[in-house]
Amino acid sequence: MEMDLKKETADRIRLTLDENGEFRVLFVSDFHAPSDRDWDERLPRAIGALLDHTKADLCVNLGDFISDGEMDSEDRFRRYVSAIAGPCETRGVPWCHVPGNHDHEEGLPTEVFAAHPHCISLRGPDSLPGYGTYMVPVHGSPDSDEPAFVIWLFDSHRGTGQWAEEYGITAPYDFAAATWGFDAGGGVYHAQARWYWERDLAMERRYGHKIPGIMGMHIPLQEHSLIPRNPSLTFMTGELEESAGVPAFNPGLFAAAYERGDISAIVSGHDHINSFAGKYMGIELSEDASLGYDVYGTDRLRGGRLITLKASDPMRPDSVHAYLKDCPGAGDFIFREGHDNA
Amino acid sequence: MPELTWKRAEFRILPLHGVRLDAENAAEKRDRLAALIRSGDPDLLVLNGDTFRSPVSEKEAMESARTLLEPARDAGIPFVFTFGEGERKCGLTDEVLYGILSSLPGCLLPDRAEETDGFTDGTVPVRREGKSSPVLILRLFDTHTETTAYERDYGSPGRSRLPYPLYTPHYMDGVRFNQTVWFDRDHERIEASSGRKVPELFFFHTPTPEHAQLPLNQGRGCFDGVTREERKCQTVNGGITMAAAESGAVLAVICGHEERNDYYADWAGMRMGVEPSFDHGAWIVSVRDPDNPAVRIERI
Repeated sequence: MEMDLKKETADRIRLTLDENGEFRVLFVSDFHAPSDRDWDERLPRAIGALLDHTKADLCVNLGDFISDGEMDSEDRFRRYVSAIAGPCETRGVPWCHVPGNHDHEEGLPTEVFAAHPHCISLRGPDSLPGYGTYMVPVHGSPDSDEPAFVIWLFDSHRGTGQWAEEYGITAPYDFAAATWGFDAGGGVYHAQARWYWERDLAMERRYGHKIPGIMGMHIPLQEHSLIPRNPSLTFMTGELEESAGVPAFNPGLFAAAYERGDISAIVSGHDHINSFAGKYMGIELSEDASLGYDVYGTDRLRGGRLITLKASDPMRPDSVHAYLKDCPGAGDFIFREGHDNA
Repeated sequence: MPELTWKRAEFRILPLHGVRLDAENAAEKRDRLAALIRSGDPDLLVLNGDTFRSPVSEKEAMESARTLLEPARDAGIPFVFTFGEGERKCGLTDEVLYGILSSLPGCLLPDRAEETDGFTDGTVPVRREGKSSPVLILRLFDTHTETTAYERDYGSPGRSRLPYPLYTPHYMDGVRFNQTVWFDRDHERIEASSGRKVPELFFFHTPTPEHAQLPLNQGRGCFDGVTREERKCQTVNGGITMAAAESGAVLAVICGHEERNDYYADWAGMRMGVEPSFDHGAWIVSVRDPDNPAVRIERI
């Protein structure tokens, strides 16, 4: 298949490396706003504090915007999206998102997000299940056609039952989860892993070489759980305060990334009190901890994963968990009530 | 182009793995194969890896394979083959072993995959007499050796051998993602040219992680068999099981590698099995009714 990057990616805002050849991507997730009342007012301030502290060039929201799939009114939903988009919009920081397992498609229309000028989210190809599987190119310069990096984003859906329904799969399909610590909360499907493979290959053919990249999705890959199981050998940093909620099924996305050899990091949300990161077979696997105040979480870990892509060393980006508690001024509100809802 | 014809009410396949031929045991293995053919009445033999494992010379490999397959030749039963890790431990190259097996009477050489790094990846279509479009596809995958080879081929700067892996601590390689994509593409191509989904049977040596999880569900109605030894499987999941399920075309995924484990289960519309090795048991995998295919496993 031919690759026409302009047709397949958001051309609304052209993302480019800064004068140092770097690009800073902040991943946040798991706001979990309630459906029948307004969100905690600290959330937008927390997003703004993280943006200021990290000087992010792009903010990627890895989903679970709402706890119960949809809000009780369209007005509340529009106000909510405006509230959480506000910190990016006022700072001129482009942002995008993928849905989480709590975000029902019918309750999370992308047009409400896309109404914001700095939103570069896409629905992604119609041929793929779900929505929100797409790529975000980062160019070396404003006039360059060739991306310097690609950020691959994936819908990780809602559950094994949804997967079975999508493909007309008959029961039993759930028992592989029996005792491995995997849950049935969803995950990236194989069709999406193949989409990455085919588009990445097309891009290599188009530009004559592989384009380095990173990936993000709401529900972690099974391979994420290898990091806390083997902390010393994976050079684990950060913390694990709950088991990694990885899917029952494995789409082969990690193997695809490994075999393509152009993915340096895979970031997920989903688990609210895990901020770990570690390397398995040369790829960093991390979880970004919840930034939300309307769901279980902890002020100690609240924050996001900051990945700094570097043209000088494209397969070795800098990666840190950006703690909200380290943001100047954040203590004024995050510890205001000694809030720790873990 | 290999040709297999569906002649009877059902199409019967005798998959064998772990034959472990060497210079001394060929006659004994031949006699066992003769007995299996008598009781199983197969239409096709699948050598599903570890046909060789002990060090052998090229001459010994040729003579022992010819001896083993005498009963199939005499009964007019064709065979196909794939490689497991044992083939990479017998001292002969993939090319030499491929040449030996493919030169023997009755060998059907599959349409080989071109875009994968599996040496024996390929397909064999089964057709009804007088019909041009296939009613069944047999798909063979090479499962390589161990993760060290995977790391060697793709240059991991890290290590795959973690003390606490996701699955079993044997660090086996398996069907890699590029092989899974070959299936995705080839299956779609066959569907486009046939105008319908053509059912497939998969054969490969090393089980997938999903196979290794099946015995955790013993006691459920969809599980049949026993485990008599630790389960072993691929370390880095190449996604073939999920791909097979999403395709809606795969009837069964038959593996080997283990010696005495003997189980299968139905999962996501597929029958997934781990057959015991040649000296410990054998199965007949049969497919009935090409228009509405159902797969059955008989222990013989």
